Amino acid sequence: MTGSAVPGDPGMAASPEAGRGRSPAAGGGKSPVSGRGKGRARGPGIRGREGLWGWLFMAPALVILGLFMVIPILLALWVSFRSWSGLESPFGPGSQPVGLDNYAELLVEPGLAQRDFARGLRNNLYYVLGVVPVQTAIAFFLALVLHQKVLRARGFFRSAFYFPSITSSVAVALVFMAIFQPNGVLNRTLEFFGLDGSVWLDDPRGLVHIVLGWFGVSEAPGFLQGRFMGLSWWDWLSGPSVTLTAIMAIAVWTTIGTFMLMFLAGLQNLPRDVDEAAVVDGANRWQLFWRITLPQMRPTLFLVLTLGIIGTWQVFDQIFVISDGGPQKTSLTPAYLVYVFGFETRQMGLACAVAFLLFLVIVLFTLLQRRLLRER
Amino acid sequence: MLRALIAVLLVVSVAACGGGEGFDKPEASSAASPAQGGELRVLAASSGNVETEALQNAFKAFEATGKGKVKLEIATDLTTQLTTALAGGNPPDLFYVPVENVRDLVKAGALEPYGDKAGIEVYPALKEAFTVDGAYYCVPKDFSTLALAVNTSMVSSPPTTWEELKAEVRKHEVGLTIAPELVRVLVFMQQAGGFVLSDDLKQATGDTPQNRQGLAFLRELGAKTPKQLGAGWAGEAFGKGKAAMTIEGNWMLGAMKKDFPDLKWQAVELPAGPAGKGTLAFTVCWGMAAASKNKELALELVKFLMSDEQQLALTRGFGPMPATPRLRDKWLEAYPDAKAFIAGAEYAKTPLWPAGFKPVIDETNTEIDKLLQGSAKPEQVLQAFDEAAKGVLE
Repeated sequence: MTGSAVPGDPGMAASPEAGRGRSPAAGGGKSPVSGRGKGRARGPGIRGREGLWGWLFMAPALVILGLFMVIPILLALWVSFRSWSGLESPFGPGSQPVGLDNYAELLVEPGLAQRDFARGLRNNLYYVLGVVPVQTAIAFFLALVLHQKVLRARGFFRSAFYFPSITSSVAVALVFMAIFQPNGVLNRTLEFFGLDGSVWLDDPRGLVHIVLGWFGVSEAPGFLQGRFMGLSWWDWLSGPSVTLTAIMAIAVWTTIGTFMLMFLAGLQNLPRDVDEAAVVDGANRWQLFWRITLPQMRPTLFLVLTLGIIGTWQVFDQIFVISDGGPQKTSLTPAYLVYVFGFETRQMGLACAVAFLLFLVIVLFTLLQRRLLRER
Repeated sequence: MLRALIAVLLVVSVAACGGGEGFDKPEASSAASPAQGGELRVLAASSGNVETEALQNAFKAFEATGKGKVKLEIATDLTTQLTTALAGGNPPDLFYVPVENVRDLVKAGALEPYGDKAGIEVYPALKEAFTVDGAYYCVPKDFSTLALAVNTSMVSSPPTTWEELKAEVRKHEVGLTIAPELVRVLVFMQQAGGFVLSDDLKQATGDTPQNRQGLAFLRELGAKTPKQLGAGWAGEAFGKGKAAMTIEGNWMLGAMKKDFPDLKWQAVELPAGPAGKGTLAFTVCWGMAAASKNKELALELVKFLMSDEQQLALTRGFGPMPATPRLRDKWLEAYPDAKAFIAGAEYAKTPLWPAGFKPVIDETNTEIDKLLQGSAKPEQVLQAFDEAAKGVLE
């Protein structure tokens, strides 16, 4: 991904073949080492041993990845087709194959699991739709500001904007909890301006419901009474709850620094002469941004959006620290549901099934986003 | 963000690696004699330094008898840590089991039914709480009941009946704060003569006139949730003086002393309703792992911990009461403030749930939160409980 984000870097453009031939020479072009290196690359017999060495050098990484990533993922996939409490060996008699039952329980069978999963999807969908565009836009804007040559104290601002990203998300969550307290800074500030605050972290009302309430719609109208996955259409369309919105604000605040840095790196790699040519052709600043800068930033934009979508669909720590999925399950997310099913209600099979459905959702969203950003 | 997923994956992989060792030969290991001087691993949760020190002292005293050694691990998240340890096939020999988890653990075959072998006298209701299908699984280490905590600088005479409670609540901006949980609001249903499950745990009895009456009364009280008052739990809201009264258990004794030492408060029995008094009891037992390789020594340790002397030492300073009835008066001497909690033991009911009931409780808690925030009616809460329970009980 860095390769596409940094098109100017000549090293990344080289093929692996060329890379291998060149690296021994990097020490000094005329040294005997480089000569021997080139000789080796030609002899097929010696090449075979090179492969062996390659595997040997890769072995630590492969073993670690295999042990802690590949095997657990495969096992989790296997567990998602079983009924297992997590309290005994998964290979023991307490673990029974149930085929697709776990998936069915989440998707089609009416019940608590289905309703909770539906709530999780709904909440997280609002979360993604709220967080990703906002954090991308703000991060891009900040990067553009920092990219200005005339700006003073650039280093200071760069550190300041990046600071939230390197702070522990739990610590950030705790600070924001203090801000959102009923007697906290936010409510006091609103009071000062004569506005009413809220119990931000315990307010289950959906934003869309609140807005509809202003127009006198406080109950589900008849045509929204129907249900999908155990949740009425009215509930699907609730919008994020006030509490979830507060958590979204925290997420935006924490992540913009990282994405700003990616945009900044992208901007710094854009060739200046293109800009200059455009200015000579009579483009104003607005046109310069929309017609010249933005299209060139497509690879970085793709990277930021992809990382944003993956990150937001997996939101867990803020929920765990701040709301435990509440109030009234309006901040329940699939990732948090994995924890609830796995450790609280002891349905490991169900937990793994949620994890894989979440994986599918993320793949789906990433593909969709790729299509939308495709060069035409 | 990936943490939940990784945690699950790790459990699965730990289980996979440990499975071969721990589960293939449990018979062989339990047959081995409990060698003198063996080491026991104990997993406990702690409410704070006082409890941790009490446990450490008790284990030191046990080690001094020369029977064996004890390695204590204080869990930061008991359920998660126990789950991983059990799945890995190498669980600690003894661990805390809160009563709401016991049926899940029994169903998974994780517990050794040693209760009768220990031969320790406890309150019959507590013994019953840890008896599943006729087998007495583990010995309750102590218990707590719910009482009404009253801020005595705000309330002059503590209420003893529903009418008095209602009158008292009206005098304050926030009269009562209560956690939006089934295992708190149930007391009002009990006081109206109801309960949400039949005694054999096979039938949901949520939507009954008695339960409706109990919840309707709670709604009349206008109780606030701790979160609405900006507190993490009811004790915090109460300690900060944001509510005149709250309903919590023995742990209030330790918590208020630690966090709000200057608070003037008193615990009284919960006000009696139309069907008389009612409260809930909570208890935790010393669970013994079925996969333990040192069961006899573990039994020795439980007997030691449940001796009169150790029980009194272990229930000093943080709240819960000894499980053995004859220690009642001696304990009360050290804890005159706790009269209301021990009085509740006479009529308390231990809420027992069948295996796999946790999702039902969670869902009901959501509805109770709606009730307290004014967006659900009592019958909706109770019907939601019945509907959710049906799915598990069938």
